[in-house]
Amino acid sequence: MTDPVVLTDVLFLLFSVTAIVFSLLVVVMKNPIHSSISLVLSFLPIAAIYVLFHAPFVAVIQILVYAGAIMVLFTFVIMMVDLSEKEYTLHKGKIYKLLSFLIMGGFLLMVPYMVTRFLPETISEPKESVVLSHFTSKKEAHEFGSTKNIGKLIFGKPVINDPVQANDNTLKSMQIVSFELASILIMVAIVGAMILARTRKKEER
Amino acid sequence: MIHFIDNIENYIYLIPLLPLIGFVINGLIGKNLPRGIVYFIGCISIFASFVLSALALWKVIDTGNALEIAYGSWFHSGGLNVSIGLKVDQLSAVMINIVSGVGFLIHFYSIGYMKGDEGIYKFFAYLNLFCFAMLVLVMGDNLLLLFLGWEGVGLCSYLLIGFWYKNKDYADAGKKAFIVNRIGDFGFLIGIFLIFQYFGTLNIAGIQEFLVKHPGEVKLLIEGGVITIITLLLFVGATGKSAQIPLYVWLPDAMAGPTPVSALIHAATMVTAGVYMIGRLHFLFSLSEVTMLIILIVGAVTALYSGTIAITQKDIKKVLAYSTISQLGYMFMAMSVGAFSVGIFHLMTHAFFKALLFLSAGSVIIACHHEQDMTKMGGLSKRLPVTHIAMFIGMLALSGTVPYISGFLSKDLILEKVFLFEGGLGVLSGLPVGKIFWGVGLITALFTAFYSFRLMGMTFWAKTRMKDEDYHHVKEPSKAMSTVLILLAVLSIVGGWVGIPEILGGNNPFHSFLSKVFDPTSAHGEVHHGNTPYILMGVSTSLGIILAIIAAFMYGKNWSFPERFTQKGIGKLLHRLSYNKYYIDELYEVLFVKTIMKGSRLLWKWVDAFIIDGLVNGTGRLAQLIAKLGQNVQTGNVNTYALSIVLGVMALLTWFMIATYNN
Amino acid sequence: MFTLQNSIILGLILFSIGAYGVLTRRNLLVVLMSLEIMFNAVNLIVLAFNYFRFYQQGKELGHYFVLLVIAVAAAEAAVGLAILVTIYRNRRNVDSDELTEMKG
Repeated sequence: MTDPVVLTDVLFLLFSVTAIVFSLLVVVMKNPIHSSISLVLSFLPIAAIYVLFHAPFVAVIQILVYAGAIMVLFTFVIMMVDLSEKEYTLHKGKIYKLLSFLIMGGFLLMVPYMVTRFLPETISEPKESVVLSHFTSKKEAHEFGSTKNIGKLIFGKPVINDPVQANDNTLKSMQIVSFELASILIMVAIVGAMILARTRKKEER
Repeated sequence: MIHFIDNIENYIYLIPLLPLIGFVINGLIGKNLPRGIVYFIGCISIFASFVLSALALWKVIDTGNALEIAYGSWFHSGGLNVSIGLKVDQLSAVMINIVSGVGFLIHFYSIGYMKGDEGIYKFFAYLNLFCFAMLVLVMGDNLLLLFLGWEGVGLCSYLLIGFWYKNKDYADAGKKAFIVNRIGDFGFLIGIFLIFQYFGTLNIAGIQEFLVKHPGEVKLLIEGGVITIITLLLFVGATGKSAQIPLYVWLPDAMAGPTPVSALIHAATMVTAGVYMIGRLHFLFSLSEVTMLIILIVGAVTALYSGTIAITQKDIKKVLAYSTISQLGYMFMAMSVGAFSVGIFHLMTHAFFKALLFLSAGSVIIACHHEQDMTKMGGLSKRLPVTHIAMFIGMLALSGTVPYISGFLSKDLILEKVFLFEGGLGVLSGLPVGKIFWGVGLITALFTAFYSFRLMGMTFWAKTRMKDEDYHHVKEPSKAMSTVLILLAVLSIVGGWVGIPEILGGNNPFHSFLSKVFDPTSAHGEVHHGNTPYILMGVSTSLGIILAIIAAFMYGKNWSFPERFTQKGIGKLLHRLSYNKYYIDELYEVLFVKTIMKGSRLLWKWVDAFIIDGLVNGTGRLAQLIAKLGQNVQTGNVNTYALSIVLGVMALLTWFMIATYNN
Repeated sequence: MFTLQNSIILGLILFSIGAYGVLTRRNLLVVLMSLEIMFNAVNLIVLAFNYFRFYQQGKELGHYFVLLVIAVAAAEAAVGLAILVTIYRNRRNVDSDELTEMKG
């Protein structure tokens, strides 16, 4: 094991533990404000893990959208919705809670079993050198996964100079469609949210 | 226009369609239309239909060929392929002219008769619908279309008998007509099923073709009695619609409807549907001697039986109703001896003079302010001259007492054909069947003459029994009604002149016209020269005249003799029997209605209330129980719904694990 | 340590935690937050697969997929919170135990 690999391992472990701990806090905290703060704090290590996955753009979006936009939204709603009158707790029946817990525990056990069983054993862990060998120069390897590259990908330009991949533009040109669809979806959601949440005048009711 | 007339076959669909359009217009928006427009729509639609029918008839006469148009497939299911096609051959050309012509006159008459009625738009709509159904019945080229019309006229009959449905008796009469017809239609329908079963087609021409093309199979069918069963079942339908024994009971009650309805439906057209149907399927009926003999017996018995009832009835319309049944019996007799064209001929003349009689009776009834009891009339000849003359002509035609009047020609032709009939099976073999039934027909004719002039005497000639005040208020109803009466009176006289037989100096063009349809080689084809026809004619006519004069004298002045005769002894008994229609209604009441009621009650108590209801309620309870259990799943709580999703995923995963365990 | 298996297990743990929150919390706000955790767990697994299985071939499809999921999650959060605000306006609480009009 070389040094960089050890470093990745350590970072992964660290971020994993933080993400799990804060996620747990989201679920367990009685006060929604505390939950929302824990939620932000759990998003950050996840974004860091994205970086480890060589997806810096996604990580940035994660921080911007989740930690920035969605969290602000949650916090505002918490402020609008006055919850001080009543304490919300894990208030289901004990059997129900136990059942949920068992189910989730079973789920946790079952899926890793499946994963280890059916994932092919021949997974080659990407080493830096292996990655590099696919590119003609180190510069392009750096560009890979970067903001500039994502933009290229979305708008369908050939990204990779690999002769085999470069000719295969069919998939990439598809991205623009999904990109536009996503924007339409968000717009519809904005309009829908506005219509749902606006205060109607008395005569409209 | 010339083009239109030349290609009339392309437009024959308009003949039934126009009355249907009239029905739709009057039925949907008639309530809001001015009366004048309702009358106009009702009459013009059937009049246009009549004009087209006349053109079609002219074309058929001109070319000698049937007009036949197929409009495509109605439905197709397995081996059953039912087309929509109209066919105007010689037979149906005659029929559509009778239906639309008499129909138009009666529509026109109704304007006067139904004046002031609330539901006049409904009345005209129903009449138009009736004409549509009747025209479909006679024009359809397959049995299913015929059946459609058959049911359609039954429906209209029901609607029109119960037209004044607020009177419970009238509504009940409508129901009675419908239910009795249902029994007949059941037989008819089974007959149609059997025809499809054995011939594989419902097309009338197709059946005829089958008979020609497969003589071997047909021979087997005849010997196996299949044809007899089929034709008997069809005849059951005919007895229902054409009011023959045993299903005649609805027709006298049907007189509850407005008089134009009685004239159109229950005298001129609908009740002749059975006769028409036998004519249409004559090739089938003539294959079964048994059926033909049964038809002959039923027709003769019905004719005589209802004639004896008619002589004692007090209600002017009841007399005519029983007379109609009797005349229908004549028609069936003619059909059964193979004299199809003669039967249709009598159908036509009967349509004219019976419509005339009913409409005259309607005129009398209106004039007497809806009084139908003849014993409360009398002396109307002075107050109602036009009606009097019209009815007199009608009665002469009905009784056939004046040579060359329409009824005389057709009735005597029937009697002659019956006399010449040589057949007989089973117990009747060896007997002079034709002569026996001729005798029955003759007696019926005498009864006919008697009740005809009894009616005339009681209504018109005897001293009036009305109050002076009422009597002086009696006057001819509207011009429209008188016009129609005059037209029909003329038709009743000359209507038969198309069928003057050779022995009376004619050449019977009607017969030769219809012989295209009715195989010329069938029984009535040969011409019998000699004195027999003259003798028969002379006997029946002279006896008829004698009876008519007796009746006129007995009832013309006052009816003291008949009243004395019916006071005591055998006379009383006979009068009772006849007046109460031999208690047949009561017998049916006991035999069928009561029994069915009791049986139904039993079924209701045990089968319906206990078993069926138990099953149904049990099913409901079971569903409720299951629902109660399932209800607990629907907590309405989001979290538990989420839990069910997760459980589902878990189940899938578990299944997947088990399924792949050994791989 | 930094392997595909471990990444998947991390995603599953996060997913389970989120699902547990959805199943047990009565406060609809927290339910929505738990949903976001679940989204993140799925995104994490997708990225892990992308990195360990396809990255060396130069494929980045997982990235777009994750971006789309984030977009959908944002839309979902917006609409969900709007519904929540409406519910609160009508009932003065956001307790899922009280929201049982659909009870059969």
